[in-house]
Amino acid sequence: MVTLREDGRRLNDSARQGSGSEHLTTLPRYLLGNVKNYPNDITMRKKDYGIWNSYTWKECFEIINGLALGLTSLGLKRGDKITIIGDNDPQWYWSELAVQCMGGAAVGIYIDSMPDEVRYLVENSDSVFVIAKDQEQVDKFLNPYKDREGKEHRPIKEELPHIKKLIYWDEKGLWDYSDPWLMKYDEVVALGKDYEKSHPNDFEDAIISGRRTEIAVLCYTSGTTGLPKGVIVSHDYLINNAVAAGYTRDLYAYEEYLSFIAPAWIAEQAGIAGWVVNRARINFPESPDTIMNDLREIGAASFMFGPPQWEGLLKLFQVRINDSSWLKRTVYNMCLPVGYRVADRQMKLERPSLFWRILYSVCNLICFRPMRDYLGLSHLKIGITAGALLGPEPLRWYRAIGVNLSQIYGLSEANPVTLPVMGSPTKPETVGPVSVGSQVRITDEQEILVKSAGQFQGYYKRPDATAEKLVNGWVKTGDGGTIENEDGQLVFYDRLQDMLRLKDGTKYSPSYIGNAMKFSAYVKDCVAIGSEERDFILGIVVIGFDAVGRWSEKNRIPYTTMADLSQKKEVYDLIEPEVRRVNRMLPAAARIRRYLILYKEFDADEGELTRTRKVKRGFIEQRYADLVNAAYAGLEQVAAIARVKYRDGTERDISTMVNIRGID
Amino acid sequence: MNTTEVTLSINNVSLNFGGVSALSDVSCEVREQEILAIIGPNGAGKTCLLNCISGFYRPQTGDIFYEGVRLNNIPSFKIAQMGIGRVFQGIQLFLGLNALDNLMAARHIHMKHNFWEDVIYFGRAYKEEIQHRRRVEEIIDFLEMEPIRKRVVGSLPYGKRKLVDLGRALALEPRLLLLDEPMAGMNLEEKEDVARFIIDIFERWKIPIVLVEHDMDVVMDIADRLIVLDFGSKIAEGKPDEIKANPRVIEAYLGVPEEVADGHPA
Repeated sequence: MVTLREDGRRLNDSARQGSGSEHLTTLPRYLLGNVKNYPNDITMRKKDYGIWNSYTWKECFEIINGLALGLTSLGLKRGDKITIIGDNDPQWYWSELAVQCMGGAAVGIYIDSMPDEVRYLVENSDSVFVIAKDQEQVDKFLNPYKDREGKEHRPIKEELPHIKKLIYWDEKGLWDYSDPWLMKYDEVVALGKDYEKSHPNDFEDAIISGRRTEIAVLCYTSGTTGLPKGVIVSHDYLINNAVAAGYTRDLYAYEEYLSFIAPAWIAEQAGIAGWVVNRARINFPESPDTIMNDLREIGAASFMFGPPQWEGLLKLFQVRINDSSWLKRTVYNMCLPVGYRVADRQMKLERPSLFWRILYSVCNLICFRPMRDYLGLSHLKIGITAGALLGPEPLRWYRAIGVNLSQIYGLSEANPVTLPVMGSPTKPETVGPVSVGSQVRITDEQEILVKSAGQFQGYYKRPDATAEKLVNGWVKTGDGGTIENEDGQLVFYDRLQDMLRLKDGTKYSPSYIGNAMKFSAYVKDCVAIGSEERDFILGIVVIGFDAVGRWSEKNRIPYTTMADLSQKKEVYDLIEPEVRRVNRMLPAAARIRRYLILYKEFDADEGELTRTRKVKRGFIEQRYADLVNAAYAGLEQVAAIARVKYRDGTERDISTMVNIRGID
Repeated sequence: MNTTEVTLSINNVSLNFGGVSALSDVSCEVREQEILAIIGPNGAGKTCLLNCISGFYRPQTGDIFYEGVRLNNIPSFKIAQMGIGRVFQGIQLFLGLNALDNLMAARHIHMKHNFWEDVIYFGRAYKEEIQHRRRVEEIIDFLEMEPIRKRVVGSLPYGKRKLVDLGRALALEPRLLLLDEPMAGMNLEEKEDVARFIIDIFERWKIPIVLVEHDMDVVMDIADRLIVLDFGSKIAEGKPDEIKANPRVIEAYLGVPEEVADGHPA
């Protein structure tokens, strides 16, 4: 199966401005242009001592210029690398631009990296300077440390004598450090200003001789398999990235962007590129712990959180609403079902009826808008979640309260692969439409191959690994997925190595099927059964008793218990479209061929779920072996003994018939 | 005795409550540039000694000199104005105010504008307010209190209240800091943070710190010198290693091996 897709729609202004100009080939050139054209426009804000401090292009430029020349006077040469380690701060952005101005490249390290990882990255990238935020990071270089095997090492400073200086920007705790190897950020900037007097043309000359194919950033992979590899990110990569974002996300000039995810990650590098290329306005939170508060003050139009942050924000709200007054709770509880109903329709790309639209706008007025305001999401155009898949519940909740939350897909080697498009929501089962300038191809093994707008030039000093990853210009992602037929959105299943196989070798992802089924309000859980002994996938569906119960009351279908309700023909009819919906996202050989609805809900007390409500697949397959075997034997109905536990603690066995339905 | 390097000297102080002798003939000194820890079992008189310094209790005999001034008859608020800041064992904060306002309240002793200027507000009071807010924000930054800046203190967990209390003491811009069990009731992580802060305060402002604390690991790690009290008397004084090896201290406080303890029922 081979699918290609390229989007030919017209670029908007900010994107055209980016791609159109011949001269704008590197990030520093964009910087020069911005300073010339918009010197007094505010381009950054950082909260410090409780106050938002603004920086104009001119101010940023002066610091970058000073830092770049300061580093030069200390011995930075074209092509050198510097390592940056610290929180999201303006200094991080400035440092990266400064080294790029002089034709060098930045290497980002995550702040929680252990000293042995730091040492590896600094050494592997041949960094000649380190710019670190604070005492915590500086100490990693000055103190002896133990590696993962417990072996004692001398301080990194002594192990890697080629590091010329360590520059820090937050003095706290470093007042008494007298090591001349350390230097303050401001001192380097001042040094550069002096240097400029004797070398007035060095800075601009360096920018002018910059080339689009030069290394701008080395982005290290996480190294889950073997040692981390440095992904070579060129200026071309970053600029294309920003242009694609400018087009699809409408990341236009002076849009408020919240810088939160680590700049060592390629996703935040898109933020840095968006800053100089699209002139997005970057806001830095006071500290990572104040993010919720700062988010509200900024009212960002665009930002990216990982699933933990989105879930955290949701939980925070749920806790607060439970503590709030009776009136607020009542309004919330009345409006939320309306939100869910409309969101469910929209996620299927259907238009809700006029009645529901009117009802929704009332709920929006009295409940959702104040909620979004409270959470700091009122100006948000598109919220993005990346890094891992966000569960269905949070996604539905955010969509219900009117937050356009979308998954995106990308990797260090090729980014972005998908980006949401304004005005056409991403289907929840997908990671969105393929971004402008990117192409996606699916192999027969269901692997996603990518040719992206931003594509890496190889791994630093690892041609062997590059040859494995980059084949005929296509990046092998190692992820399983497909292109969905109706809208051409990309579906991401799982890492290929985590997918299971059927008898004929077809790969499928049980977690994807389970998750995608749960986007239906009527499905509480779904387990996909299938292994190398089985021919096809069987779906065991657990209905949400409340939601289906309400539905059946409205449709005048009488029922007594969950066991009774679950086996109604009408309920099977209700669930069937949901199975078909998920099947549309799956390759023909790996679709749910038969399904059954269980007579009860999964229960953590009975060991079917973990305490965090994760379904234990193996246990369920074993426990319901009779049902599973009957389904694979082709039976239409099977008798089951259900043990029912009543609220008073007594248990009783009841026999019930379970229907099994096939899907063509 | 070299007076230039001694900030505070306590000479033969005794304190009695009726027939109970809380402190008997205690002498010690706090030097510039040191973290002095006072340890001892419960009821040994550690807090009483701090209370004598900050003027809550008046010792019956003995003198306390701070930078050459005799403190015995000076009211406690003046002692605070003289630059002795204190963190209390039980937290003494305005529970209804937020963390920021608690710290601003502590700046009150440094505010120079009068009542009428306050009423008008614009002018000197406004300018001063900004200056003081800046100082307070520096302390908030220092103690990493940004997330709780606007939280009402009454709604904060215990460990955070302790931190606000420490911030409040720092807002006084003390030249001598008394810490009465700043880590009591904290978990290990919070203790590590506070220990870090104490060292940072010491390095940043170069002020002597008197620390009363039960966690021996912390005390031995961060204190330059220790004083050991038992039943109101000083039984030992010295560097952490000396104290660890001192047999009287071991018996009174650090614990005796079980077979010996069996012979002396508690």
